[in-house]
Amino acid sequence: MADLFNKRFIINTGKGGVGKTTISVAMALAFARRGKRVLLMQMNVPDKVGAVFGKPPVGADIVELTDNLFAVNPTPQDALREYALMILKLKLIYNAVFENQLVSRFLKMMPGLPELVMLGKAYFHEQEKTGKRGGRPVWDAVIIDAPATGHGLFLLQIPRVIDDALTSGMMVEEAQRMVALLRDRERSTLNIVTLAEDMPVNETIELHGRVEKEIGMHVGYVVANAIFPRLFNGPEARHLEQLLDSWGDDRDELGAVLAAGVFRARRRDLQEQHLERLKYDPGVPMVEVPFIFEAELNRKCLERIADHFTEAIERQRMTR
Amino acid sequence: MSVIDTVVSESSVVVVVGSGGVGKTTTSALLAMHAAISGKRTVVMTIDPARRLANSLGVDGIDHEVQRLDLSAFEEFGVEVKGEMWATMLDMKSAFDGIVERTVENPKERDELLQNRFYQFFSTSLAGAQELSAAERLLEFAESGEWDLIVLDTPPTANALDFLEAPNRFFDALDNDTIRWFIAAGGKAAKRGGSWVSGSRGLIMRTLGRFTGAEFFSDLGGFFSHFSAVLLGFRDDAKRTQTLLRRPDTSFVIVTSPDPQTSKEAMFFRKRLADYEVRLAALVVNRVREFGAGGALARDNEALTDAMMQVEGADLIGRPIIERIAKHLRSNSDQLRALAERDSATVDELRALLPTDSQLVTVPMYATDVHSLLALERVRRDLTGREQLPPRVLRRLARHLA
Repeated sequence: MADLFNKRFIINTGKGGVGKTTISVAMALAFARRGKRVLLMQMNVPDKVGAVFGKPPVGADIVELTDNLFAVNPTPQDALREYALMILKLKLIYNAVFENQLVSRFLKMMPGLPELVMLGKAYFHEQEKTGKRGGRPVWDAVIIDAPATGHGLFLLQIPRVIDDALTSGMMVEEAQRMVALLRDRERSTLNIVTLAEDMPVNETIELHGRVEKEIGMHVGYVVANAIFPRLFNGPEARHLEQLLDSWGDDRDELGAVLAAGVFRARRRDLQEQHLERLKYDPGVPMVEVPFIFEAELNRKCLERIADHFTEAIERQRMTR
Repeated sequence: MSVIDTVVSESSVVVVVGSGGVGKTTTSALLAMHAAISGKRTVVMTIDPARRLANSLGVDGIDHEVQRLDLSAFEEFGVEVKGEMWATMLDMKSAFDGIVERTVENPKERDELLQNRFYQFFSTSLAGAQELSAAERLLEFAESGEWDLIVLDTPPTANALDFLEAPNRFFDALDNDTIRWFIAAGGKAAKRGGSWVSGSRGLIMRTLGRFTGAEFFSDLGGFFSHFSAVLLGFRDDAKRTQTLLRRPDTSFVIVTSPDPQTSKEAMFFRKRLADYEVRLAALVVNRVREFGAGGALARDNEALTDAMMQVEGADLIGRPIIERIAKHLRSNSDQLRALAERDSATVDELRALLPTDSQLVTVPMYATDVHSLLALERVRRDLTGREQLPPRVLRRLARHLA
């Protein structure tokens, strides 16, 4: 099977607050640095990516953040408009139909439509060619910073739901092509971002099962984010506990330093236990991303995380 | 009395909102637990089966059925439990089915609707359906008069107030005109074989039909003609829910983490709650990293090693090892201090932005997951401003409970 760098359609999801966006940008950067022309697609979120590259917030238009790395962050309305215009070709018809008050109100409440058009846009870019009648693919990879678990899963289910609900029309065909792309284990993959903590790990295990079973999609990596680098080895951690124990409850200068050390050692231990769990279940390859102590996300942190991806994937290549 | 004591003693409904991953479910459970301990008959409505949390309270998991949780183990901590804690998980599908069963009287029509492919899709996927079913269940519980306090854990959404707004948006979009138009257009299209409906309506149906297939609209029209009765039932309930949420004994609690992006969202929620004229009682900041600075000692290897050597038992470990630990302790203090300073700055910013009648509560980040009874009790004490059990007692209890 092709490794991550040879995939073309990559979806990153996971529990809320685990750092999906950071991981997605860093992953896209890793692709770009290997000379891959990559499009990072965000799903209508307040953009924080533009600023990291000294650019204005990313919106509906594709912008180049740095060499080979492009980003877009459309709203479902943008995506729907783009799609409808592409099909209808005539703006006049588009306006008469889609801008009609009743229709736009109706479309607003159509369940799944926002998800469908957003996924559709990502699909379009995966297929996009340089020439009108073919040519080279415009993008080597499309990386999607997908919504958190529940909504993310719904996003991936939507083409199949549409396929079941409709019997004819263009949307059925599009939906079928999307289902085929998601299930194409050579081209597409899904990565689950998690923290090494109880609830995110539980969600990771559950999500993995559902993605494989309900979507039929390949799960590539579990990305364990924010792992504290180990400072104290086993005996040192035990000595620390012992010292704090004899020092007692006093949190003066020494007490505070010892307590902070014990906190670090215990947190790291806890992370270790959860990493161990992740190795067995879901049992897919794992990338550990170190905790970033910097005050805010900057280019340097992203480069470091990108290095971790590259190394982890190279390592996996060697062991195979 | 702490803020949280006031919230639980003066409210009949507490709505917990916040972004994903901030500890909303755990906080909701703790609020309910605290209310139960202080004597209220409390129910928590969660959106997460929260298995580990449920396990530590003596049940396998939480589902649609309301079940009682056993708090007697808290007596280990010298806590007297005066009330009851019950829990239920919000299940969108069951809530929708419940409404259909209540509103559609003809059993044949009812079964048809429950089996309809559009109904099955709408009841699980409709924008706002989850929020709507949460609101329904809340109303059902509030009107039953069986509970002293209802704690509602809301779905995590990009906009925490979807819970309040989604039902409205939903009714707005489903305004009778819209439905009537599509039922009529769908009906005509079906009658005339899917095309050649005249005028602008015809253009619209033909154009949309290219995307969806022509039968879609007649099928949908058929569905809506049954479903509109159900929707009217919802609309009436939604109005009563809005009234309930604005009552003075309904309190909102925002939960956030000290992450700058998340706290920005929390402040956005705060503003929206104010626009909505509901009462924000407290802002809970979870997982605040609090570490003592360690002063000059944390910056001087030599002095730190000397101080550590004075601790009982250090001589048995030996100076070379202590020295090595001291070196790591120094870099640890530097790293963690930076995190603590950042969190404390965020908490200050949040506090400055809060209205005067709401209060901020911080809960520190622990070295362990919050699932064991002991951990829950520790957070409950932090959340409600009670003194912690002394570390020695904690260690004894930890051994005893293990």
